[in-house]
Amino acid sequence: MGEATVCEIDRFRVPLDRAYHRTDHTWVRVEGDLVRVGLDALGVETAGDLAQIIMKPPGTALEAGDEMGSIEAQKFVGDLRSPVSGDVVEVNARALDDPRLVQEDPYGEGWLLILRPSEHPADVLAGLIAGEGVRDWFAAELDRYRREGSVAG
Amino acid sequence: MLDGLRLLDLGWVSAVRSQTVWHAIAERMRPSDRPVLCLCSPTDPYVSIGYHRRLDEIDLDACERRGLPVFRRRVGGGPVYCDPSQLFFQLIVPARGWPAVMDRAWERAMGPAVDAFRALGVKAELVEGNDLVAEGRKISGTGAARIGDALVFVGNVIFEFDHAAMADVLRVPAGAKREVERLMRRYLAPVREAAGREIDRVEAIGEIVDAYAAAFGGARRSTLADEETASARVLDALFSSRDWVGSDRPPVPPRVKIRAGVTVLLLGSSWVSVTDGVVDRVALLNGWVPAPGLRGKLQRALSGRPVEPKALARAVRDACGTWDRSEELVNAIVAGYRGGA
Repeated sequence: MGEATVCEIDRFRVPLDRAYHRTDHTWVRVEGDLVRVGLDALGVETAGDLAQIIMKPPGTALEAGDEMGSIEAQKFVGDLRSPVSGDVVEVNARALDDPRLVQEDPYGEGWLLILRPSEHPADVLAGLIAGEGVRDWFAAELDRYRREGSVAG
Repeated sequence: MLDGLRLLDLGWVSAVRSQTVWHAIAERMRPSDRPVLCLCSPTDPYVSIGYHRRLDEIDLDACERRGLPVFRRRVGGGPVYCDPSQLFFQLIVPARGWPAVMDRAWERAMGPAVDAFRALGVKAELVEGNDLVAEGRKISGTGAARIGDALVFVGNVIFEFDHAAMADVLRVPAGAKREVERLMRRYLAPVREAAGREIDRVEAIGEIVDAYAAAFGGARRSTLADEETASARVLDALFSSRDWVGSDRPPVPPRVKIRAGVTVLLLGSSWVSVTDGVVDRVALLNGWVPAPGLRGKLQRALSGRPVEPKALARAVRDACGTWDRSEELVNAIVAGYRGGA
């Protein structure tokens, strides 16, 4: 991933080569006829120190919005919702074994799973935010969290 | 604007229902609903395991011997022993509008519980996000989850605690069980001990309700809706099912956390207990004994040392000179503690 595809918003890195779910803070990157899914930097920031992650196993059929897995931090269990519809092809076993990977490299080695989308890969991104709109969306989300006192300034 | 809480004081319910009822309330909660404060105690003892934890952390033989069913809850944390001498309280709120960062979320949810304990005469504080402690001793077991459109925060008031039962149901070596029990007696305080006086259920409920009512703009007594009861019945069966309880989970680091900062690290059949960053007791067996006659010397050398690589390496070197597993032992203690303190 080249530097040109990443924007910096305050201290957060936001790659522009993928699409984002507006409220769940997951990302989706099309890779041929598959899509890779992960948590974005704000999702990781708000989760805290991740202790455990589980994901639905390969072969699971997911609709957009279905629970694709869950995370635990500070004894809090939160569900992870799939940003797109498709079948789980692969789960990042390394991230499950060591959830710190997700915190340290959420856009790279800390990806969560790979799906075979039920629609054409280019169409699954409909409803997600991508391209230049990402910058304004992320800044607005960061501002919203800060107003709530949820992210340190 | 605060609309007040819906208060459900359910009294005594079956073991499984003491878990499923608040999961059911959360499942049924809509974004526009009022927050719910639910109170209940189980009629019988049981073991509850956290959503992400492995069933093999529990000594199922010990559970069977003691007649304890095992249920998997949807909230986080490790295996816990629950019995009728505990009062469970749950705050269930619509997720929307609640702080997204966990420290803030815990603070808002458990702030009233801290106030309630203080009103009972307990010097309660919330440490490391979610641990309720008083003068260095844990006073409540906590956990939380997002369930549907709701967030659930759970805690308990412990009137009496069966430390031996809690240690016994953990699948750890016999020596480690005794150490877990010893540390729990020291670092887990029933409310009577924390307050320095007898506190009964009625008084505890009164203070909890008052504290949460003050924080949420009042509390109105309510009863379970039919659909909530129906959902709880469905969950009764699920939570008791072999598939749910035995769900496959990734391995967790081998340790038992007593409270924030107090941990028993498991190294095979050996164990090391750590209290607030300092090695407490050590029991090294099999491969962790450098040479005949050095076991006691090494154990004594490690005890009292801070959990820092240099300090521990020096202790090992002083006790047994050059040893090819020295670095491995030091790393296991340091990584085990830092990962679970």
